[in-house]
Amino acid sequence: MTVCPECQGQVSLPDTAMAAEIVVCEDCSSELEVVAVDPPVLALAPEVEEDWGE
Amino acid sequence: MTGDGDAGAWAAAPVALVATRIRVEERMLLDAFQRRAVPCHHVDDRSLVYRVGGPPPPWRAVVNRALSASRRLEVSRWCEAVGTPVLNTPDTLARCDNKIATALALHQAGIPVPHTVVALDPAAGGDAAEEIGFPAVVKPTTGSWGRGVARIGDRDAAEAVFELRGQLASPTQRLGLLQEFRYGRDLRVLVVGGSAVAAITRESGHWVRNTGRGARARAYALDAELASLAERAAAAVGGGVLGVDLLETDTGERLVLEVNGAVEFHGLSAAHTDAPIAETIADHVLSGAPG
Ligand SMILES: [Zn+2]
Repeated sequence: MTVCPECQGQVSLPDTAMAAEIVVCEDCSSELEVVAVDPPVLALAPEVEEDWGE
Repeated sequence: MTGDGDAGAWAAAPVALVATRIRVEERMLLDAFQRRAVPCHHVDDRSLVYRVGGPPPPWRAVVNRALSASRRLEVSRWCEAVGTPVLNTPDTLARCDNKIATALALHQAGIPVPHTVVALDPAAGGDAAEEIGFPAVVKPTTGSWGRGVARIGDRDAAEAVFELRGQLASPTQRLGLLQEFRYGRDLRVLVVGGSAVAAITRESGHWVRNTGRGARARAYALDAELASLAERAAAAVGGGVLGVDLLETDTGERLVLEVNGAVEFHGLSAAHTDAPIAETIADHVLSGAPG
């Protein structure tokens, strides 16, 4: 278990979690980026950049 | 890389999933390769450094899911230059990531598109809007998730939107694409390697219907005509793994709006729990025939 940086809620990462993976906090619905897995560190996923995505 | 006759070594090489983030789609693709016992490594596109004239990367194929359209294009350009199979190809990405290029390619292939007018400078936006008629939709030529799209009802609104766009720093964002606004049903068809796989329709209280903006996706039956139209649209932009966005008007006319070259498919997967979408994409990558 690790802590949501937005709401301090508990977030459980799947065993397969990897750096750069996006997980969603079940408490506050924030999108969180797995920055590191051992030990687990979560950060708020950044807002979109100008030329991102589909 | 495939031309040296060492097919065994090539088959043993890992697939690279070049991605900025491991979202639902990337996780599904990683799992699909794992189920095929094919090693698939995540490579963060922001970590890539390569020498012009240097060796190809040690990957049998690249699934390019970089989030930034600029970086995505460079990744595919590099892969193609060194002979590494890549999805999507740089030609396809260049057509999909510029909506002017998309509209021109679709029209050239005889595919029905909404009436479209381009204004190369914001000062011409009012005239361009008159040329289309009202209501019209103003779109940025790049970008996604419906960001920066405005519906305008008259020339004053058009000039206001274009005045704002004229203040943007990026020359690309100052380009204007206007399309007639049509009421109808929004459809998305996923095309993989020339074959339409599945379709969804998106519903939302807002006229910008995008699952990235909270629109709900529902499965939509893929009839032969819809499949054929989506496949032709995919071919027109160069083929690959593509999300073809269409509008079915109240009169039953089907128009192709956009083709997405870095397609999100979680909405499609959720609506089609029986359709193995990531599996289909993985099989296509391993078939060694991108495009
Ligand atoms: Zn939270």
